[in-house]
Amino acid sequence: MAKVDTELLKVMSGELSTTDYIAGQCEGKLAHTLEKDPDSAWIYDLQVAQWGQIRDAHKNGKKLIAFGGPMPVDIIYAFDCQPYYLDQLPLSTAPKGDMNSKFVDMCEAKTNQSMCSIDKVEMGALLADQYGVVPDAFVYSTVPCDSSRIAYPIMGKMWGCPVFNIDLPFRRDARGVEYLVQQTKEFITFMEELTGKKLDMDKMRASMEVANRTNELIGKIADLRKHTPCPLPGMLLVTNACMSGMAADPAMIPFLEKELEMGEMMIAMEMGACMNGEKYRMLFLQNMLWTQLKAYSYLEREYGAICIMDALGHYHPDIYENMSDFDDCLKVMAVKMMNLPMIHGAAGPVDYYCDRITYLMDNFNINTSVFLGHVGCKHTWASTKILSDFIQQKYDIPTLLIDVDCIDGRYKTAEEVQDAIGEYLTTVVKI
Amino acid sequence: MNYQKLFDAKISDESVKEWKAKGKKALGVVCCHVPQEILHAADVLPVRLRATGCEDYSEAEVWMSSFSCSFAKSILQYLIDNVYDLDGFVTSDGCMQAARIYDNWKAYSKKAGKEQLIVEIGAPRMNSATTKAYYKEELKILAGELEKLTGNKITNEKLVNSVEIYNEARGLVKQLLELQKAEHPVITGAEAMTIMLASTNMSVEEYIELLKAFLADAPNRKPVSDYRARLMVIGSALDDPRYIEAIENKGGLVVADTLCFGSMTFGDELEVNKADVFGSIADYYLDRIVCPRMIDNRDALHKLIVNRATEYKVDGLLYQKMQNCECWGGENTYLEPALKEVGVPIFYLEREEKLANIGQLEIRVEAFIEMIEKEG
Repeated sequence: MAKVDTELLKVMSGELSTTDYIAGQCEGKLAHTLEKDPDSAWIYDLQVAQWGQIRDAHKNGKKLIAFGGPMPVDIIYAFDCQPYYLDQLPLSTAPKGDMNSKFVDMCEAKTNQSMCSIDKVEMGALLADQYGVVPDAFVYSTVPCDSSRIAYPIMGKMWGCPVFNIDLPFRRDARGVEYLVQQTKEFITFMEELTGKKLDMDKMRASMEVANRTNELIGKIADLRKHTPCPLPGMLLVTNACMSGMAADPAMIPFLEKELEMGEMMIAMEMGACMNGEKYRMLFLQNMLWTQLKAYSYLEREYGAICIMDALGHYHPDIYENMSDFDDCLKVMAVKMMNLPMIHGAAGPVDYYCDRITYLMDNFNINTSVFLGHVGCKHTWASTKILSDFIQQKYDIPTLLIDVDCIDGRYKTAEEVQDAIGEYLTTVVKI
Repeated sequence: MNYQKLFDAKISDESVKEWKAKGKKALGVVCCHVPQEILHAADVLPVRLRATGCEDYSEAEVWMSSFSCSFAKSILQYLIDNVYDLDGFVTSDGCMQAARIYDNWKAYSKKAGKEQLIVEIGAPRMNSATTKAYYKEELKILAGELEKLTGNKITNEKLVNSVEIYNEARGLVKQLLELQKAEHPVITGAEAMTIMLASTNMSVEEYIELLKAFLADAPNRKPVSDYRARLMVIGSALDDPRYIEAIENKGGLVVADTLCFGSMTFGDELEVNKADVFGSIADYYLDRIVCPRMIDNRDALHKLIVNRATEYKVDGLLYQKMQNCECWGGENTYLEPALKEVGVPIFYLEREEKLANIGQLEIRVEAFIEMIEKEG
């Protein structure tokens, strides 16, 4: 008989907040792992730090800054504030099907059924008053999408806290960089007014140094995935999503170092993540299947099919080269915002999406293309023919289009997704 | 003057053909964040693209998938079908579906060997001095593209002249909307919408002349008195008056709207600062409230809707949402209580571009009107 998650039931009944639940779960898993398999504890160390910091921000004397979309997060750290990247909530709770379903349903009573379920969970949790934390400010940008642009202003109003917005330019050119630099300066003024402190350049430098280190590490980790066989499992691509909110968080460093070490060790031992041999090196053109991460292990085990990278989640490392020149750093921040997962490919003209795919196809020895398309992401779905034609023509690789809801598991089970991909691999893909 | 052309909702290429016969260019426009004044100043005919009557968008769906909004797909389908004989099109990233019309048409036309001028301007989604400055530069880039296309220089004088002409049209549409305030208006909602849609079928100059003729004749029209409830329509892009007709067939009278193919596309007059004409246009188009694409206009939009409902003595509001239209997806959270406060109930309709299930719509509308009558 399946073990009942009594804490989850409390969330379902409204007694327990999402933050307390997730933080508690992470702490429980860490304690268990330290006892049973201490070598794997690094996986949970990061999650404990991430959610503990959010839960305890006020206790630790820090202002909690909720944010959505590309924002200059390194600056939030430099102000000694705790960022809360709201997408962390639906991504973390996606495997807990019932919880996300509850918040999705609550949100749908107020919005479109077709809205992205990432935003539905974020807004639904607020409608249910189950964040368990109250941000001191909510800062968000005008992208990634139409869904977030609907949900965030409503949430800002519900929280009633100070709000700051950044508009991301349609094109990613020098003028776009200057546009973001100007808005980042305005953001600094906002943070100064919010905290009552001037930006401390020493703290800013410290924040950028952490970000440089994590960016350097995530770049090296991505490089490991170029190796055949791929040493790291597809499931660990979740790391990319962590970077969106935590690139300047010191807790990221040991996690990434450990992941890098593990990957290098696998290569040294001439081992790959597919235990029965690697055959299919898949590029997922869109999102990860957050509800069913076990599907990644299944495909690796049963078909030798490994997700090398997902094009939407790929984290592009950008380094502050000249920290003594803050204007130059602001330009790097602007580029970082444009290069963020989900933003780089999806939130502008489709050419950027094609550029990203070209980079991944050319460098990661990809032989299989799958558009695992989140149904809420309508504007990426609206580019599927362009992308699949592009890959067919340039690389002579067909693309499987499969619709999923990466956050609401009721849409499609892991088994359905696995079978669809498995059938595609064995009947269409020619290796 | 015969103004019957104003009452034809069908898409017509008559004006485009006449225009092009003079050796001039005609460009399609997607979204009302593209200032048509700039195209006009380059002596280009701006044709606001709509998808009225599109029954089959299956080829466009191959490009945009079943998860896209059917308005965007239908526009793409009409481009594929060459419904408009245009020299290209200009769009803004109004919503992300509009942006994908740009990408897909660019890819399709290239594949089909009919490459043409396709421009997308970045219209900021928030309103500040910084975003207005950025938008102003985008408009200048657009002007540059138009100059290259036509060989016509866009001067400040030409721009001011174009703004004045468009302001005249705006003023006349305001008079049209005023007619709807009467207890027994001389125009139905479907007719008002058709007249506003007609602006997409002709040059602004012709539109002004026809509107003047209609307004002069308006007092002679028979007032509408046999209605049961005064209604207002808000929501996604609606370019098919048959939806309004279905509502009016059941006793509703649509007297107001906040539609981007209706009153919102015209708006108030654009005031020009002659020292900074592009700046004035940028300010106007970002200040003007059209739809919830902007991240920071929600309260103002709700206020406008509530005020308009009050001003036009509306008994009920029809909030129609196109399936997969996220922009208009979340307004009820705060709009519903605000309307409740002024005693205006809301009727929600989810629909597609193609008019379907008309019987079901009529039954629901009738029930809504009965509810209004009982509570009234």
